[in-house]
Amino acid sequence: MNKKLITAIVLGIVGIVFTFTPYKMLTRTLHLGLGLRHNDHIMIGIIALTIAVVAVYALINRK
Amino acid sequence: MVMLDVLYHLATETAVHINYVAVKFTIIYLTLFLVTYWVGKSWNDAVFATIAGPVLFYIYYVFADPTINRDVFKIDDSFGYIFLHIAVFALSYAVVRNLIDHRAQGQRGLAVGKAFAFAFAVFGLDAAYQMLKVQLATHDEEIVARVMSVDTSLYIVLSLLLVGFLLYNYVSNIKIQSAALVLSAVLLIWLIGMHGVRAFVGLASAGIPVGLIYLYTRER
Repeated sequence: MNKKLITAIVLGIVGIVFTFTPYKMLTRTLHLGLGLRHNDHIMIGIIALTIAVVAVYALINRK
Repeated sequence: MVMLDVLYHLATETAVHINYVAVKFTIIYLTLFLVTYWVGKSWNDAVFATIAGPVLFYIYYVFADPTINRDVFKIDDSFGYIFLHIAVFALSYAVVRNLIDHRAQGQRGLAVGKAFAFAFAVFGLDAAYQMLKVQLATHDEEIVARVMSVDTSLYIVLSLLLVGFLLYNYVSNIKIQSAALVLSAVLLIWLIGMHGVRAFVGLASAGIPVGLIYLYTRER
């Protein structure tokens, strides 16, 4: 399976979870807080989303 | 791109906030690096990178908690700033791309590109030193947001642009050119900033961009 496709799917899910999930749900319900602040979660999520978005673009532009 | 944006913020009295500058730099760098590394640097790639970077950064702004008082500080978190970020990113992308793919331009065009990259890189590293110093000393982001001023920043950028253009255009000996660039940057930071340690750090702030520009353009 294409590495970029796996990267896009995995980091896309991580990015969406960390960026768009409310802080309380992430820490108490999902137990994915990692002891970090809300802004740190957003930062992790945005970095993951950035890589995922560019991976999707790279897949579309495959030569 | 980030430092062009910083200049605009200073001119319009929008806070230059070290955390957001760091986040902006990280996202823009990551987008640009990955697009160039995985796909390339064509017209379409430039359009994608210049739009995707600011949009992703805007998502961070919307979902992150504010860390400085929005009643006191104006922040570039409104939707319209996406277009400003796209414009400064596109301008910087075009300048750097011309610098690397320099088939079409002459000696003077190349000197302008190098001077642009040199001036804004030195300004950025010098600003990072100033803001980090205050951040580490005070741990107060609102004090850090007041560190930079538009007048001294403009003096530094414009004088570095002028010196950079003159040295890149008229001095052909690389060793003399590099030494003169670093020394003149240190002198300008010292004269404008009136701070000895900051000027000493300027040896690194100017040395790193001069070295990188030389490495990327030496095949010409």
